[in-house]
Amino acid sequence: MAAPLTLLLIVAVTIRAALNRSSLAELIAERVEVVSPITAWKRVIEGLALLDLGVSPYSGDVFHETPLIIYLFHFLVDYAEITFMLADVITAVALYMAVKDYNKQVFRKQKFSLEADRYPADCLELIRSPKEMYYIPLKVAMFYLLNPFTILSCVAKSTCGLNNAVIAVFVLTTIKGNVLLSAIFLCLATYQSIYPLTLCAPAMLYLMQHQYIPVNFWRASFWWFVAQYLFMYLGSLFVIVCLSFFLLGSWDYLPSVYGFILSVPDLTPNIGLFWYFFAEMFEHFRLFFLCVFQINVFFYTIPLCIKLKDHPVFLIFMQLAVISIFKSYPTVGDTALYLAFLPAWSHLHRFLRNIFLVSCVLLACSALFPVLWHLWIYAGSANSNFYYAITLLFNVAQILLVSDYFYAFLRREHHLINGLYLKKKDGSEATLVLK
Amino acid sequence: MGLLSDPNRRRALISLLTRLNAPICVLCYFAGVCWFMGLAFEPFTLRTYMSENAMGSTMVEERFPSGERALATGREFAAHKKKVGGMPVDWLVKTMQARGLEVFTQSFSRTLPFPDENKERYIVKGTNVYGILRAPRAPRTEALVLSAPCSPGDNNNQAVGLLLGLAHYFRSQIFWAKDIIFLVNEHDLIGMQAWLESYHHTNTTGMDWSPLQGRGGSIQAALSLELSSDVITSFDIVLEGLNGQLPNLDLANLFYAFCQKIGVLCTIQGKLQRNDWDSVSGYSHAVQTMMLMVMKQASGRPWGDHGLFLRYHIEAATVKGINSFRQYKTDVTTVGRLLEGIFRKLNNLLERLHQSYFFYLMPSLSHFVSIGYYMPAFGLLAVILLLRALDLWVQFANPPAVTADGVADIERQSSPGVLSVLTPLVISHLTGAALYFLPTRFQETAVEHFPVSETEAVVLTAIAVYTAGLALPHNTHRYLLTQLLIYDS
Repeated sequence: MAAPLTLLLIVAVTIRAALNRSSLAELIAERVEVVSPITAWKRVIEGLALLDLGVSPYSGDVFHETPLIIYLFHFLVDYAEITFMLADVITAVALYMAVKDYNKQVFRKQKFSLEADRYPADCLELIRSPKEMYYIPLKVAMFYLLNPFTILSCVAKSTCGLNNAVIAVFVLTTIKGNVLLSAIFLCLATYQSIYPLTLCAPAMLYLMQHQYIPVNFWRASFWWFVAQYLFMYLGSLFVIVCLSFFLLGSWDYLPSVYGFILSVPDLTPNIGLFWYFFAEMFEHFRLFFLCVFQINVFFYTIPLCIKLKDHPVFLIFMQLAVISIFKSYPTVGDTALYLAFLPAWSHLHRFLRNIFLVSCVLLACSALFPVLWHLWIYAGSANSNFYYAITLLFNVAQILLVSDYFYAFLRREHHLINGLYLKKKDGSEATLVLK
Repeated sequence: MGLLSDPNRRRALISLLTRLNAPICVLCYFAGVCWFMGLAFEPFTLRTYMSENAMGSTMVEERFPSGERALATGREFAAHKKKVGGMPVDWLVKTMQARGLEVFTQSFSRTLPFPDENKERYIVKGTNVYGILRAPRAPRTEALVLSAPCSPGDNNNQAVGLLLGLAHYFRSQIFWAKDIIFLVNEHDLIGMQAWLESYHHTNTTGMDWSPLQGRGGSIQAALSLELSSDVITSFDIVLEGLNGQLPNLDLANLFYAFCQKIGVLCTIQGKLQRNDWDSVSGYSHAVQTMMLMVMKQASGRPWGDHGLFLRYHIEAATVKGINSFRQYKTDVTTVGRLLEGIFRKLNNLLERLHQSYFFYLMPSLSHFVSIGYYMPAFGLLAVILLLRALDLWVQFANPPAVTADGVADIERQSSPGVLSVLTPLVISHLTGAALYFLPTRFQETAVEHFPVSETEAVVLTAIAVYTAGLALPHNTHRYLLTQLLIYDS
């Protein structure tokens, strides 16, 4: 499968290079849907300029990325386009290898269950065959590289691409079973934006299952593994934070990066939910709603972990989706990352109920974003309500997509246990209703 | 979301959709068309009203006295125009300076994509002349524009004369809070575009112009004047601008209010308003007016020099004086009073016009239909597409013989792959892109290699792309049909 993957990489790099050379590059780099105050390339350049002058890059509320990023670009600023294309390539290859490994494990588990005769007789059509799973890793890489969202994000040189690369390598190392590397890459991802913290739980669940440690609160081995992982994770986080301190010589990156992400002072419109609410909120309610909105991102971890503790990779997908919908400054690059996973669940297609509606709404909203922005900012015929309506619709469609896949996944699991054609006690056909 | 998650209700809804699809689509189509036609019926429309408070209730007495002098100036302008054979720049500069304005000129030139058929020239060169009347006591932050085009021949001489007469009159008044820019532009839209681009420091058309030496503040509103006769019988307002953009409805309301006050007949689309809305001929008159407005917007080109202001978020309209075979004639002094009144009201604005509607249709000058009323007609037509798409989707996903809950029969019917659907989609988009880019891009190479002129080259390229596209639906239809047959067998 190396040849199709290489061809795909060449096509993707060509598209990005062609767009970079055209006049669209500056236009895309200014769009608020593609860059946010954290990820904008313009701000990275400003930070570099301040660093060259000897001033702290965090003075003046311009630069909100981490010190490691600024030092990375201190050496690589002339090769910026190649860096971002390389980040996209790394993400795609990492996702390719991760999904390939995951498919192997799924197939192996399925084979053992079939031999142990654990599936009811009539759900044989739900069993996945290697033939249908053969092209899934390539499709995952294709979904990521050829997604217009990713291409726009790469051409705009948004640092979201680097974040996606780190998260993809984290997923790869987790699925391969390497505890230390998984902790290190998760720590890098958390260091850049706080929200991947919630990916700790699925990573731990997966690695425990990989090492055959039972997930049981009363067992000492469970707590010993949790302690190990957290030690590695927090240790590397501590090391990187201290490294950043020594690189720049001061702690003022902490309020500029993490304080900025958590307290949302900049209300530039984006595709997220925060800006409109906080633009029209009274000051004395601001802290309360800030806490509510931020807790919303972390809150879904525990129920999802309880429900999906046997399927940690699907849990990673759900967590990534929740993060990219509810984070404080989302961009389309974050959406592209979890959308790349969708071919891995293509066997759920028959149970999906709203896929047509969701895809139509997502396409329509993506087309309407620039229209309503123009109408609001340039023509003056609309106002922020119109743009926020499209933002809301986009996020509702994303939530519907994620919950639809969740429903389909759980339903397939239910059928695998209870059989595909459900009969009531008197033998007539029953339907499954989600209450 | 009970509708989306309850399988029983879903099944009922989906079966309703598939059974009644064709009747519902036909019904929606007729409902949409009837709704749109009904918009011209007067009881379904609203009367126009002034939304902007700042332009509301000032009682102003207009006192412009010198209509005859304006006509004399216009005749002088005509004589100088004929003598110079174009725009009499020096005479205009001298006259404006004599009236106490700060006068500046701007020269521009544009390369035409095709040679001008009459004169076989590729480059249009011209000069704009404009004078700024500075507000006596206000900071120079806002401006209003009154413009008249310099047209060849006998057109618009009286407009320039009236413009200069108004400039003289306005100069003696002390209550102006905004700068007033009196602009005479050459070559209509080309000159106006050059002036606007230079004023706003943008260059979207790639035109060559000299930078403006003098500037006012940000322009709040603009009026373009077209007057070709010494007396008029009615006054027409033209609202449609570039790409069908319209100014704020308040500008039309202002015009109508002043025409009522001064007693001048006002028209829109050249049609006078009728009182007999309940008769068939009255209703068809209103429908014609509204459809004329729709057609003019759909053409996309600006129908007056004002059309280019709208892109810069400046509310602008063109007022045209029409001389037809009516008995009651209005002289230029009254027209001058009308414009004076309009400008005094615009002078009172505290912020840009934003209170009233930006998207509307006018079956007559005193009634309007806002976007909230005409959008449902369009929505009904768009719903048909959605219903057909849903019907096709349901047929693909759930073959009719089984329950519509995602649990299929033993023989799995796989829908045609994404690739077979994506291919015609991509090809049709590429055809559209070809139609958009190819004619202009390959114009020069076409002229080199084939014995056609430039305009013919463009038209022939478009026809060639269309002809190539004609072959498409046939092939893709056949291809899809064979794919479906393969999957079904």
